[in-house]
This record gives sequence, structure tokens and C-alpha cells, in this order.
Amino acid sequence: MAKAILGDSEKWFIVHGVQDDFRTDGRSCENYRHIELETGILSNTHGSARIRLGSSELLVGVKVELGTPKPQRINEGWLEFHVDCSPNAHPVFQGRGGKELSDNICSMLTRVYRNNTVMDLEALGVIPQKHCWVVHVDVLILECGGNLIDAASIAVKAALYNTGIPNISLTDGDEGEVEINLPDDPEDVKHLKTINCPVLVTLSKIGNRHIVDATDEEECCCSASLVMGVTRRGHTVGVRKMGGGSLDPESVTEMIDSGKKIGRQLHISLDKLLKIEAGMSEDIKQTGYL
Amino acid sequence: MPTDSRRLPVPEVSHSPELFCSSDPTSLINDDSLRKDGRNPEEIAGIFMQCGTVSQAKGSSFCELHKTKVICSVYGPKDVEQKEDFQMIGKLKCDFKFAPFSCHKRRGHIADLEESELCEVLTQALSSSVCLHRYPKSQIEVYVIVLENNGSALAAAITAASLALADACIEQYDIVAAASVRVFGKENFLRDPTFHEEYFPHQLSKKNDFNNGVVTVALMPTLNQVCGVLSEGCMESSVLQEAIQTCTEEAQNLYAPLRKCLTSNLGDINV
Amino acid sequence: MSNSIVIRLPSKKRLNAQVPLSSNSFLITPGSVITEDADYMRGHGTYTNDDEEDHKLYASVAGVVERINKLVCVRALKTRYNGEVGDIVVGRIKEVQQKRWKVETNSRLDSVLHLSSVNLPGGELRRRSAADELTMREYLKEGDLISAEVQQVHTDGMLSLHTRSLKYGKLGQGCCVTVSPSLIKRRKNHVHNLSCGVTIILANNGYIWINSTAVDGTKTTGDGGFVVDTEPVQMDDREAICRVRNCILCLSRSSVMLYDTSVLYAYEASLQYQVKELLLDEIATEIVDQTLSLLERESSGNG
Repeated sequence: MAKAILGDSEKWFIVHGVQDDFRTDGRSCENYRHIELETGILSNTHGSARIRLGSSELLVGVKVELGTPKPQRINEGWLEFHVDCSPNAHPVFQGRGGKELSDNICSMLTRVYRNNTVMDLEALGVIPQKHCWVVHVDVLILECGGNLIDAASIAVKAALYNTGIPNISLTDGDEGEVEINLPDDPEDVKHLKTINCPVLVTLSKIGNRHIVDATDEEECCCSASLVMGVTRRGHTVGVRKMGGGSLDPESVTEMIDSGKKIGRQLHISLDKLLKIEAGMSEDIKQTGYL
Repeated sequence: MPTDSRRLPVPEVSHSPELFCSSDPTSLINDDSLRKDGRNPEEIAGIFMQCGTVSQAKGSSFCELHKTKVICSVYGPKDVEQKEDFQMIGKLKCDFKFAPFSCHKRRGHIADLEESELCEVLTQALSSSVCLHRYPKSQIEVYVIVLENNGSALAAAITAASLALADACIEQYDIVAAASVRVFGKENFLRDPTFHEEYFPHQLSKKNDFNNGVVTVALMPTLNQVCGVLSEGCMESSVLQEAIQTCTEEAQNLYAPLRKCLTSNLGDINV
Repeated sequence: MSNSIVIRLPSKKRLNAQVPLSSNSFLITPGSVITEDADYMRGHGTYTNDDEEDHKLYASVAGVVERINKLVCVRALKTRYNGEVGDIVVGRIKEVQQKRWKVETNSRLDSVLHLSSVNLPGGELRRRSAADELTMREYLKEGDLISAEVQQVHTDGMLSLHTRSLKYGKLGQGCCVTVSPSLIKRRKNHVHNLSCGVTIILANNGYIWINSTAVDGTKTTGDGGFVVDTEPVQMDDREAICRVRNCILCLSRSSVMLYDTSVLYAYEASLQYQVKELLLDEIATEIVDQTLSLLERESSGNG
């Protein structure tokens, strides 16, 4: 993984700053950087989002395809995640260099979406045992400025919110087969219910305290962090400790509490923005990469 | 060869019948509040540990937790294979694999996403216990293979790996003991879940999938430091905290048998 | 509970925030003809065709045309650092080698710092022993930041550095900001003690080091400045350091030349805000605007 290299004294400066609740860029321990987010920017996808968190930049594209349902859940579809670290972000991602980072993000996303409460998968069913919608969520990392996991999960939620699944109609065909008809109008779509989709919150332990939204320099000073998926209601949907260090049992409890708090704040802000953007979709011009 | 149109064609894909006859996941505990295998919810599974299973490895261990069987061997420390930069600290290389015959469904030989995730969790748990600064420029290799998976495989693997590292006389701050718990409703924490008690979201429906999940915690018992947490499933944060607490206690209790296993093994050598 | 997380649509400011170019220079792109006059001499960033007939001079980089008598060159707007003897640089140790350190200084090639060109603890006239060679990593190790002066520029562009003055050496607690080297205004002095209790090193290579002036005073002790100071920085010093850091980032994003006056003006303009508010684009632009108008007023007052 691409990491900033810091000298010992710079690390001390950052560690003491966290101790004093005054980080290098002036934020306190539980402050997030400002997030810029827009959805629906890729024309060839069913839903997309671009996020910029500090200097981290990610692009998420969602494509839906018809597939065969899994034998255990015959009338449901499923989500599939894929994360790619572009060498544009850092030359070390060239070849298989970004595999560790992308696997981590991908498995964490899969983990938090792997339960029945976050999404209504039955809405993705088409014909039981025969056809269902498979939602491919592809995350592309374009710039690394720390806290990629949180940024990815926010962008994924936004992209899923933006995703429109074609309203197909079923007609009886020959020999009991069912014919699937796609609507003529590409705008004729139904949207996914993303109200319960989780976001990931990374709490990085630095010194005796933990911080949210670490920059890459701060990640360099942190030996252990806790990544947790939080839903809008404040429930946890998967937790994992990352990094080679260890944590106090008490601090794990504290971190879960603050992760829950931050996660709910994130949801409130995100939902507000998505509503605003949906409401004024006619008037705003997309910035994209212009 | 001409095909006989009167015959029914064979289905293209086949599935194990066990996929469909899975037990009702809403009744993990019966009316007498006993589990399927007759244990109390709080009752831990019997554990068997042994060092030096693989004679040619620097250190090795075998761990059996109910029917889950794990073998771990440690090689090294030796020179780093791919020399990148000069490293003042050693490198811990772990490999976690389910044997192809270990689960109900056959596992492929190439590591899938689940295996690589568990491998990463294992590596991160162990690297906080191993004194890597004592092994500059070198790497330590840890290979874990699950022979039979009857649930709680990760916990067994972490415990076995730490035992094997101790057997290989690699310097560690503390032994790592891991334990897992199945959260089943707000009140019930089933310790050391079996395969049927593990969390499979596809067996549950939206209504009953709350406060359900599995939590695994790796702990350094004497230092009282948590070096790994992994959870799955949607639950309230207070329930999660309590489950972590339960795991921590259980891992703490594993310390005595681990110690005994190691000391008895050392005693054998002295004789 | 106040919700402090801001999520919003992308602002367009970031994309078209550009400072208008002064009228006496003009931009040129690679491949365009600078002059057809054969009398001019070919400088950096230009090329000619081998063709006998063709006397045109072409640009090979995007940048500003500069003319010194008969010499024409194109100065690239964005470039790696080209060292000159006497420049002050801040660099990061990349590798410890036999009798020398490799230092990353934002230039094309890694710079070198010889063991003989550093001040070791125990006075200037100390002889370098074999023991010193073995303990080089104790003085400076990978990742450490140093300030140094360019001693020599080799023909291939590699720089030799030296720290044989108490001004230079290993840097203590503080933070480093990277900007484009072309934003650093060349001046007599690149180390400034700002009135807010902060010392900044506006190194020529685009690395800016910010630390507190108070800490700087302890450097004259006999350890040669190689010992890592683990004492926490005072809270008000820390706030000033972080404020200067954010101000410099605001200025560099809008491509404002960096020197003591511009940094100080930005610092003063920022005082009405909290340090973390400077991360916001609107406030950053406002500070840049205020700084620019202050600078303009000053220059018109002098002229």
C-alpha cells in the first residue's frame, strides 16, 4: 500500500497533536474533512457517484445485469463488489501492487452488505430460479489522500441511491417460457431502496486517542484501527480491526460508541445531500472532470 | 454421438442437497435452552491442542475445537525472498487455507476472497504479538490449513498459529488466544459456534435478521490487549460490545490450557 | 448534537481558480514556433530541427518564454526542482549508504549528503572515524527530514548537499508542506521567523518546513541536533503552526508566489477564522483574495 514516509519527529508532532485534540490541519479528533460528492456522472452505467474527501478521490459505477439466482435464495438478486486501485493514484498500484488495499476495501464492503437488513434483495428478483438482477458495484480509486475505506462506502451508497433498474415487463411466451421485455424508454427505471445501506467508519488509534477520517500522514502514525459499518439507525453491520497493532478492550468499546455517533452523522449529511441533488437534478450542471 | 431426444437432459449445474435442508436458523436453542449438540449457550466447546505436529517445520501445532481441525506450521526466520527496501523490522507472512474437502461444498485450490480476508485478519492479529523488531531483514512464514471446518475456524486458526510460533521459539510479547461467539438475539451468546450455528444471512429473512451475527476476538491474555476483531451481521452497538466482552473473557480462559500445552511439550524435550 | 460533517456538491471554484498572467509574459505550448530568426541561441525547453533550411526555434515544454540577450528559453510552469549552488533545500532521507545518505529533494535525481559534509556531535573539527560510518543510521535514518544547502551541482544534475552550519541539520517537530518549486520566490533569505512565533523554511525545492521558533533555540546544544525531541509542542505554538500550514496550502492552490510577506498577510487574513475552517474552499478563496489585495496595495504604495 502506498504510504507517506515520515520521520520520527514529524510523527511525534502528529501524535501530540491528536493528544491535544488539535490535528495538523486544525481539525479535532472527531472532525471529518469536507466531502464533495456528485451522482449520475457516468452515462454508460445504471448509477454512479464521484467523491472527493480531502485529497482522496474515488469513482463508483454501478451496472446491473441479468443473472441466475443463487440456489438458496431463488427469488433474490445480489450485489457484487469490485475495487480497483488505479496506477493513476500512485505508481505502486501498477500490476498487482494495489491488490492488498483493494482486497481490504472489497471484503469490508462485502461484509457489511452481507445481511438481510441493509437492502431489499427481493426487489432484485425477476423470475424465481431463472432470472434476477445482479448489481455490480465497481469502485475505482483515483487519488489517495487517506481514509479510502470510508470514502468508498459513502460513494457506494450514493451510487446505489442513483441506480435505476430498468422496469422490465414479463409476458408469457411459447412453451411456458416467460419473455422478458425491456422498456423502450431508458428513463423508465425503478430505484433501489438505500435507506438502510451502511457507511463504513474507520477509527484510527493514535497515542491514547482515536481519530476519524485520518489523512495519509496520520495513517502512517497509526498502528491499529477499527473499521465498522454503521446503518442509519446506528446499528453495526460488521466490524474489523485493521493494522498490526493491538487495542485496549476499553478503547474498543469507546471506539464503537464514537463510530456509531459519527456514522449516524454521516448518514444524515449524505441523505440530505442526495435529496437536494435529486430535487434539483434539472437545474444543476454536473462538474465532472471538465 | 447423436443425442437421444427422448431422454431427459442432465442439468447443467448441480448443488449439494445439504444446501436446501439446512436446519431452521430461528431455533438454535431448543425449549430446554440447549443447543443442537447438547451444550448450554454459555458452554464452551472442548479444545485439544498439541505442539510439534509437523516434524519438519520449525514449529507447528494442531488444534481441535469441537470438530474443527486446524494444522499450523511455522518456517523461518529466514532471508526475505523479494528484497524491496532495507527493513529494520521482520516480515510476517501468513497463509490461510481451507482444505478442499474441509467444508460442505468443495473449496478451490486458489484462495478466494473469504480466505484472503481471514488471512489478513490472522496476519494482523499475529503481527501485534510477534516481536518483529527482533528479526530485521528476515521473514517468518506461518501456514494454516483448516482440515475440517465445523465453525469457529478463524478463532482456532489464530490460536493454533500463535501456539506454533511459540513452539518455533519465535519471540512474542504474549500468546494470542482467539474465541468466537454467535449472537442470537439480544440475550443469547452461543460460545464456540458450530458450522450450523455460524451466521449465514441467506438462511434468515429480513424480519429475523436483527441482532444476529458472529463475533471473533483475538486477545493477548496477559497484556490484556485486543489484537483482532471481526464481526458480521447487523446488531445494536451495545450488543456488539457485550459480545466482544464475552469473547474476551473466553479468550482469557484459554490462556491456562495454552500454557499447559506449551509447558508439557517443553517438558517432553527435556526428558 | 450539532452535525459537523459537511457533504456537498462539488464547487466549481476549485477548477477555474487561476490567477491571471501578467501581460508581459506569454504562454507557449510544445511544438509551437518561438521565433524564425536564426540569430537566437537555443536555451532550455526549446529545440531546433536538424534541417539546414529550417531555422525555426520550437518550444518543447508548456511555459513562459524568457529572453536574455540572444538566449531564448522556455521556463516550464510545473517542473521538478533544478538545483543551484547555495540554494536552501529541505529533503527527506531515502537511503543510508556507505559514507553518504541519499536524500529525496524533489529534483530529477536523488541528492547526496556525504558523511563528511554534516556536523557531527562534538564540534566542527571532529574527525570522522570508522565508528561514525557504522552509526550513520543513528544520526539520520530513512524518513528523517533535513534542511541543507546545495554545495555542488554535478553534470548529470545530481546535487551534493551540506549541513555544515548550525542553520541546517535534522528538523525537529513540525510539519512539512510540499508545493511546486516555481511558487517559491527566490530571495536572499529563505528562513523566516514570523511574528506569530513560527519559523518557516521556504526551501527552494518547494518543500516548506514549519516549526515553532521557540524550539529552534535549543538547537545550539552539543548533540548536533540529531536527538529526537519528544516534548509536546505548546498548544498556542501548535495552533500557529497549523494555521500557517493551512494558509500556505490555500496560497499554493491558487498559485500565489510564496515569500515571507505573502504568508504573513495570509496568516493575518486568516485570524478571523478557526484553523479548521481554512480547509473550506470559500474561506480559502477569501483569504487568497485578501492577501492579493494587501500585496497589491503594498506594491502600489511603494511605487
